[in-house]
Formats: sequence, structure tokens, C-alpha cells
Amino acid sequence: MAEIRCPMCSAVNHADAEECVECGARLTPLIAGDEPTGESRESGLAASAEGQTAEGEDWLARIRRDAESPPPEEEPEEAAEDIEPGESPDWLGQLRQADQAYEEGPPTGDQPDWMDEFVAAGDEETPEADQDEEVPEWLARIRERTQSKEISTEIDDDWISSLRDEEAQLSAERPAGLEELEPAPEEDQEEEADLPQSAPLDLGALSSVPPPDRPSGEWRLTDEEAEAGVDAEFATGPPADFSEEGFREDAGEVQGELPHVPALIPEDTGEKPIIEIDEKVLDSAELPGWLEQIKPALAAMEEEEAAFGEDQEDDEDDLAPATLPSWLEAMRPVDAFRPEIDLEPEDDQPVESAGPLAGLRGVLMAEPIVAKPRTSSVSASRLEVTERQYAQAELLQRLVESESREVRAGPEKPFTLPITRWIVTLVLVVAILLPYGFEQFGFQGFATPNVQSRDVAPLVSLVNNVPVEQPALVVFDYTPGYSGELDTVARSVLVHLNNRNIPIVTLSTRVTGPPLAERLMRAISEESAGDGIQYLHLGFLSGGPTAIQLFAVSPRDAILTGFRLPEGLSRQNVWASPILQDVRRLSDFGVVVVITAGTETARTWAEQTQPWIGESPLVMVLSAGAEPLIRPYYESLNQQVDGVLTGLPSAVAYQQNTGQQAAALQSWDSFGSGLMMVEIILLAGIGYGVSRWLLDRRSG
Amino acid sequence: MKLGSYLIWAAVAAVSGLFVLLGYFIPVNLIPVAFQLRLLIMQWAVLLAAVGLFVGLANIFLVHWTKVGEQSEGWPYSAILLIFFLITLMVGLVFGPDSETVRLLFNYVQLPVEATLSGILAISLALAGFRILSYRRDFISVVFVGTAFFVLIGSGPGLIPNDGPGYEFFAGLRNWIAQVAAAGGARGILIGVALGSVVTGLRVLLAIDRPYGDG
Amino acid sequence: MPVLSLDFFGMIIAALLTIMVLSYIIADNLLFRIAVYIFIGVASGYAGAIAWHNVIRPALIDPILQGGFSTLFNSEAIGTFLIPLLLSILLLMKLSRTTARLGTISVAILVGVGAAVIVGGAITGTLIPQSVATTNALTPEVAFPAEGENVASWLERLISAVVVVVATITTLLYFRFSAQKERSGETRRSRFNAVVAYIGRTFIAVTFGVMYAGALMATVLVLAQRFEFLRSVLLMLAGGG
Repeated sequence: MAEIRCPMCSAVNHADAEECVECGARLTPLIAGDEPTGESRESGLAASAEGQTAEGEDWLARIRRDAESPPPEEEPEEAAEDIEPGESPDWLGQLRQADQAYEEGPPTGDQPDWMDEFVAAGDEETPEADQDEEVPEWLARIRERTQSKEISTEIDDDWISSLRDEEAQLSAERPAGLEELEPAPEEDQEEEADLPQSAPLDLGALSSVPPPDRPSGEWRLTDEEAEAGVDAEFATGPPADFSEEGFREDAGEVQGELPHVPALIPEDTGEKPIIEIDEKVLDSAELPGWLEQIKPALAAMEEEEAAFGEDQEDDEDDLAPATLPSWLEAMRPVDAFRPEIDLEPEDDQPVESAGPLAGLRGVLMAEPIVAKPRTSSVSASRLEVTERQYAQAELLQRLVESESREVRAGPEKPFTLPITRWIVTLVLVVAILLPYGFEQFGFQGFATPNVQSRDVAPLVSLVNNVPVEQPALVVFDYTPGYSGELDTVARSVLVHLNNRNIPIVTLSTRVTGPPLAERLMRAISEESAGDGIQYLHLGFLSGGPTAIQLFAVSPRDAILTGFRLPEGLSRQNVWASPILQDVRRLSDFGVVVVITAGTETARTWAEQTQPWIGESPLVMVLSAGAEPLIRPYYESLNQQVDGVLTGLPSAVAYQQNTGQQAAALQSWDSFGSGLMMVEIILLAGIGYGVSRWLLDRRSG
Repeated sequence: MKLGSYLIWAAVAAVSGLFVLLGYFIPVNLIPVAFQLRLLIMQWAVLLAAVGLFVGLANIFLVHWTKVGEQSEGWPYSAILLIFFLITLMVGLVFGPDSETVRLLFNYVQLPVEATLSGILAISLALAGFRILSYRRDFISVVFVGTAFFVLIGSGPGLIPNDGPGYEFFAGLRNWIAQVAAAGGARGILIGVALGSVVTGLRVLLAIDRPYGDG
Repeated sequence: MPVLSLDFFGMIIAALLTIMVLSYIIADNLLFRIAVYIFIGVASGYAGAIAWHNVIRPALIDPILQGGFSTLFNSEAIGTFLIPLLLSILLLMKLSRTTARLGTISVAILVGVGAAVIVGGAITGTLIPQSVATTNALTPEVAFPAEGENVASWLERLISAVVVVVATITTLLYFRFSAQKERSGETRRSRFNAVVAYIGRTFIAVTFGVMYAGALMATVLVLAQRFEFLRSVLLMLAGGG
């Protein structure tokens, strides 16, 4: 005997078994007319199963039987009486259980009265009056309304014929949810014999129903609706053909199969659902409860149909591919979610193996569908890019590409001799060394300038007015690289101070300042007659402008030790020196002389010492290149710099004015010779540039 | 970056800086406590600058030590640097920077090399002056070179003898150029530099720029 | 015969180093690099030694040597010793990447105080005084001749004052780069701004020309003294003393 393996636990069961003996899972999918035996897992299935069990057979099975034999008349009434509000026929209930998340669905149970009436009417060719007696009141009212209004229609309202057509189209594609309504697929053919055959739906009785004046599928409006002028054209589907002939013919084509009921979740046929239910019709108190529950859906459907209007008349047969009917769409709680479901053939659909729908075919797979990427309901607007943005994007792209691109090493520059540099060097060196041979050639060297800078005399006067009892603070803020120039220039001022017996206190904000100060002061002291020069080194003060400000505010808190202190003076107590005994503030110094080659340092001293310097003059001994940027501090009415001495010529003039031994003249000839050669080089460069310009101009 | 630590550093920089800055506009010396506090903060900065100098020197040492250890390109030079660095530092730390040994190192190693490097600069500057009109022939370059020439002529011994008849004219011209025209331009530059310094400093004080990092 | 003293050998070493550096004029070479690396080593070592002896030791070591370790617990020394010691130790943490974050507070104090000093000095030391000096350049004393002053002298003074003011203003306006976008898409200054900026640029060229001439004078003097030194060493070696 054939065996069937349980999809859940893989246990082997009898081929005829409906449920697994091990785990109780259904081994055969539930189809319409099945009478579930055994236990049911879920309440929904249980309810339907119970309903089916209670009724013994579903309505389609009944219809099928009725098609073969006249159905009992009491049965519909009983069914109608038995049906309670809120109950739905089995087929509909089973349909709804396919998607329990959405719908409560019509309650399971017997077929509604109207279906029974259809069945009954299909077997009887009774006059209209007779049929009226058997048709429910609410349906009769609808008929009356439709007859009272003349609604032009060019639509074929034969929904039975359309049902037939659709059945032909859908015969190959059974909706997954309706699997249960039909006999099992081929592999389950052998089980068909065990399944009660549902009577084909005998809707022949409906053929006697007078064709509605409006397109089929529309229920007759109530009087209120008619007065309100509700647009009656909301048909979205082809009219159903309720004629007996049409249906039986259709049923004959699918002998042994249940008549196809259009899917609530339609396939991609482009056709609109056949069954349309007017919400307003459901205002009747006689309507079953399950119909009342779908009133909101009808309202949405009505609006949609009204909007489509004539287009729907033309495209009545076209249902948007892969879209839900509007009335079902309106029931959807999530907006703008349009799952696209491709319904596979029944045979190819997998059997659900878990959950309450185990054993069923064509059950919606939760994960693939829910997680399916959804299409946007609103088409993305076209990206508008301006020219500027495009250019910037292109530039950015080029930059990014250039980053990853390998930079090819350029061709090696051919080695060229720096002839020009050698010539300039040779000329300059010869010029500098030439004066050492002047004596041999009788050349007396360069004369001292007879025009002095107008800064020299005021400075001489200023230094002459420095109080003798107050020490002079000399700041050595230059690098050893400029010691050749600044030692020579500053020497003139320092010697002048020494000649006036003014003690000198040195300080530096550079690490090389203290040794430079010691070197120069020692040289001056060795050259000076007498006891030498009185000087004291305060050493190095770190911090740049902050150190200058700190020293200006409180010198004793800034300097904690000295540099190369004389004997008897400990480094922890430099302020105990006799030179500094009366010094508490910056203004206690007789003069502040800053020797520097950098404009930045000179500017910082000029900025930070105000107003702490008081009346003490600030003198700048500068390299020739730093003069222009310090002169504004000197040339203003409120001078921040009281004296300036720049360059060797000014130092020579200063020494001459103060009667010093012209030590600056030691390098005067070399300096003059070198300077002359530089002037010649500049002139040559000007001439070379002009000649090239003229040549370029001539050549065009 | 943790939000909390970033605020702490910014607050420290801003508070310490603003307290020092106030001393320029408010006579804090009249308020002894404020005066002392301002002084204290500046003393901390001066000390930290010296420690920072040590950190920089340590970094130099580590960089060249790594170069020697890995024997990367130019490692012999780094070895020479390290040797003289350690010798000078050790002698200076032990005997003091004002000792005779360190004085010799300074006078006969550091000073001559640095002075010679400055001397080479004269050749580079002269060469640049020779080439400037060959590369750039515009009015501004002509003004630049012409000004330099006339200042040199009028500054000292050179092409024009100092005791010659024309020297007085060129000396006066040089004085006028340096003390009037150049002074005016220098004043504009100084004001512009001061404005830039104020903006940059305020950005730091207001924690808009945080050169100390956010870490 | 020269005295073989340390100074003698020092001068020979200095002369050799001078020649090694001067060899760069020919081309970059091994001797030049050796001399420069020796210089960097000595300069760095000396900087560390003087920073230690002049700043760090007096502030952090001498208090302990003088007052003993009780100084660490002295409440009066919190601001003058303990906090600076802690900040210095934190700054030293910057040497390691793992502990660098700890030194941020020290750097923050350095940066904050430095910025404040620069801002305060720039405002009170340059901006205000120089602006006042510019406005005071054309005072009545300048604009009108003094009593007994000849016309030439007064004109020279007046012209000089006007030139200084014009130079100051045009130089400042040169650094104003505001411009308008024209219809052609090109961004340029207005005609007036362009003319004023060009004048300012001319005065800047004059200023830089004076600075260039001064740098030339200074470096020529330094070069001359270097050769003078070499000459003296040669003479010394030759026995000239």
C-alpha cells in the first residue's frame, strides 16, 4: 500500500491518512468539500472543520450534488435559518482563513440564503413571480431598484458567461487560496474518491433574475441612494452569467471539478473581480452579518469606481495586473503596500509544513512575501542636476580618481651645473676678499658716510640721558647666524652704556641668547679699560610673548635664576645682586635695549612692554632687514619705540658720534666691497631682464 | 571623541586665556588676588613652554633613534646627530650650560655653522635679485628691484662713494623711501597682521579652533 | 707658534666646519650634511641643557632640594609647585600615544594663555596705537607750516605725511578681497577697489624692497665676517697670531 511521509516530522503514514499519527499534521491539503476528520489544530480550521463537520458537507459539494439531483427546498431555508449573523459559508470561511491577518471573514457555516436560493432557482424554471417568492426580500428590493432606473449599459451583464470565460482562463491557474475549493491536484486524484463531491453550483435560478439595468455586479440601490443620485456605475467586472445553460456548460467543462470562484486575491489577468457588493445594499437588516462587516470596503470601492468612471466601462475586463481589487485594497491596514504575488500553478505550490496551515497548498509564505522589497507607490522624481552641480560632481570624481591613480615619476631632470650661482659666488667672494689686498695696492678703503641717518643723533641723546643709578636691560634675542652683524652694531650702544658706567643686565627669550650675551659682554669687557664692564646675566626665559608679558608685569616672578653668575651669587638668589637690588618692575630699568634680527620679536617687545615700561625708553638695535616693520612704532606721535639703530652704517655713525673707537670699521671695507658687488649684480640683473624683454618683444 | 573631555579642554583654555586677556584691559594690579592669579597662570605657561621644549627634544631623539635602529636611508647622519646631541646634553646637564666645555661647543661648533649658513644666504639673495626681472617682468617687480637698488646705493659704501657729491641725494632718497613710503606700507601690514592675530587668538579662546586637540 | 689651547683647536674645528658649510655653494655634498647634522645635535643638546638649568630645575627641583619633600604637602605651594609639577608630568605624557590624552590639559593652558597674550598685545600694542598714529599723521601741526619754517621743508613734511597715510590705507585695502560676480561669470573687484589695491600693492613692494635690501646688507656683512674669520685662522696657523 502506498505510504505518505509527514511533511512535519517525516513519519511514515498510511496513504489514506489525513493526519499524521505522530504529530497530527495534515497530510493532505484541505480542499472544498473535505470533511476534516480527526483533530484540527487551529481554531480557524477547527471552526471551519466544526462547521463542516456540523453541516456534513460544504455548499459547493451540495451544489454539485444538486446539479445532479434537485436539491431539497427546505435545505436553503434551513440553511438560511441556520445561518446566523456573522457566519459565512464554508467556502468563504476557508478562503478567509487563507489570510487570517486581514479578514475576519464571513463566518463559517452554511451557505447563505441567497446562495441557496440561487441553487434552488437554478433547477427550477419558474416564473419570475415564483422566484420572487423564494428570493430574499433584500435581493428583491435590489431588483426593484435596478428595474426602476434606466441605466444604459453597453456592458454585457451576463456574468455567468463571464464567469464561464474566466473559468476557462483560470482553469490552469488556480488561486492558491482556493485550492481547498477544488478537487485535489493530480497527485491527490486518488483521494478524490474519498472526498465528498460538492454539487456544482447551480445558479440557473439566477437566469430568471431579470437582468439589472445596470452593469452586473451592482446591487440595486436603495431608495435613499437613488434619491441621492448616487452614481450607479461602479461595475468593475464583467457581468456574471447566471444562466443555467451557461453555468452547466461551464460546469460540464470542468466535470468533476468545482466551479471556479474568482479569487479574492486575483491573479494577474487584468480582469476585475466579478462579484461586487454594494455597501449600501447591506444597510438592510436582513443581510447576513458577514456582509455587514465589509461595508467600509464597499465604500472605498465605490469611490474608486466613481473615479474611474467610463474608463472602467471601457476597460472593464482589465484588472491592473497584480493588483488587488479596490474594495479589498481598502481593507488593507497598511497603505501603499502592494505586494506582487505571482500565483504559481497549484501543482507547483509548496505544501506548508508548519503552523496552523500545515498541509495546505498555496499558503502564503510569510517570509518571502512580507520581506519582499516593495515598489514605491510614488514614482521617484527625476533627479535634477544643475550645470554647476554637475561640474562640481565631475571635479570631485576627477579628484577621487586622481588619488588612486599612480603618479608617474617625471623624467629626471638632467643635471645642470649651477654656473650662474658659481659666478655670483665667485664675484662676491672676490669682492669681499679684495679689500685685504687694498693696502698693497694703496687703496685706502671705503670712506665712512658723511650723511648720517636721522635716527642716530636722537639715540645718542637718549642713551646720554639714561640714569646712571638704574641698570640697563639688554635683551639678546637673535640667533648666532646674525651675530656677525648685530654684535658689531650692538657693541656701539653697549660700549656707550659702559662708558657711562651704567650696569648692564642681559636677558634672552632664546636659548642661544645667554651664550651670545656672555660672548659679547666678555669681548667688550676685555677691550674696555679699567675694571671692565658691569654686567649680569638673567639667563633664558621660555615662553615667547607670554614670557615677555610675565617679565614686564613682574620681573622677579619671571626669573628664578641666572646665567654664568659671578662668584658669591648663588643661582637661587640672582635678585640679590647689587645691580638688581632696586629693580622690582620693568620701569625700574633705566633703558630697555632689544637686540634682534627678527621683526616678530621686536614687535612683541614693543607690544608687551606697554604700559609696564613706564617712562623708561625702549631702544631697538635691529638688523637692516627688520627696520621697515619697526619704524611705524618709532615714527608715531606716541612712540612705543624711542630709539632705533639699524645696520653697520648707523653703527659706524653712532660710534663716531659717541667718540668710540670705530670697531665697526673693522669689516667696513669688506662690507663695502661686497655691497658694491651686490649692487652691480642687481644692475646686471635689471639689464639682463630688460634686454630679454626687448628681445622677446622683437621676436613677438 | 568624548563630548565631556572636549568641553573640559576648551573650558580650561578659554578660562585661563580670558583671565590673562582681561589683564590687558582691566587694571588687575589693583586687585591683588586677581593680579596674583594672573601671574600664576602665566608662570605655569612659561614653565610648560620649557617642558614642551624638552618634549620636542625627546621627539627629535626618538625619531633619529628609530632611524638608526631601522638603518633607514640617511641613518649615519642620524647617528652623528644623536652622538653630538647626547654629548652636549650630558655635559650641559652635568656641568651646566655656562660651563667652559659647553661654551667651547657653542662658540666653535654651533655659532660658526649657523653664521656660515646665514652667509650663504647672501649668495642666494644676490642670485634671486639677478633673476627676478628675467622671471617676472611687471611693474611690481620693477618697483621691488628698483627700491632695493636705491636703498643699497644710499645706505652705505658701494657704487656711489660716501663722500661723493651724489651720495647725499641718494642717502636722502634712501631715507625717504625707508622712513616714509616703506613705513606707510609697513604700518598697513602691521595693522593687518594685528587684525589677523586678534581673529586667530579669539577663535582659540572661544574654542572655535582647538589646536590642543579633542582627545 | 700659536698656543695649543682649547681655543686654538676650537678655532680649527670652527674653520673646518665653516669650509664644510661653504662647500654647499658648489653642490649639496657629504661634508655639508655632516656639518649640518653636527650643528643640529649640538644645538638641540644645548637647548635642553639651558631649558633645564634656567627654567625647569629652579621651578620644580630646587624647591624640593631646599625645602625637602615636605614641600609636596605644603598647602602654600599648591599653586607655585604642586600644580605646575603635575601639569609638567602630564605634558611629558605627550611622548607616548597611549598617554598623550593626559597631556591635553597642559597644552590647553599653553595655547589659551599664548592666544590671550597675542590678542591682548595686538589690540593694545599695535591696533590701537597704529590706528591713532595714522589718524594723527595729518594734524594741524603737520598740515600747516610751523613758524619760521621754509616752504620746502613744510612741503616735504606734508607730502611725507600724506604718503604715509595713503600708503597705510591702500595697503590695508589691498588685503580686502571682496569682489562681485559679473554677468560674464568672472569675479573681480570694482574698478575703484582695483585701483586702490594696485596702489597698495605698490607700497607693499616698496616695503619688501627695503627689507630685501636690508637682508642683503646683513648677510653680506655676515659673509664678510666669515671670510674674515677664515683669514684669521689661516694667519694663526701660519704663525701670524
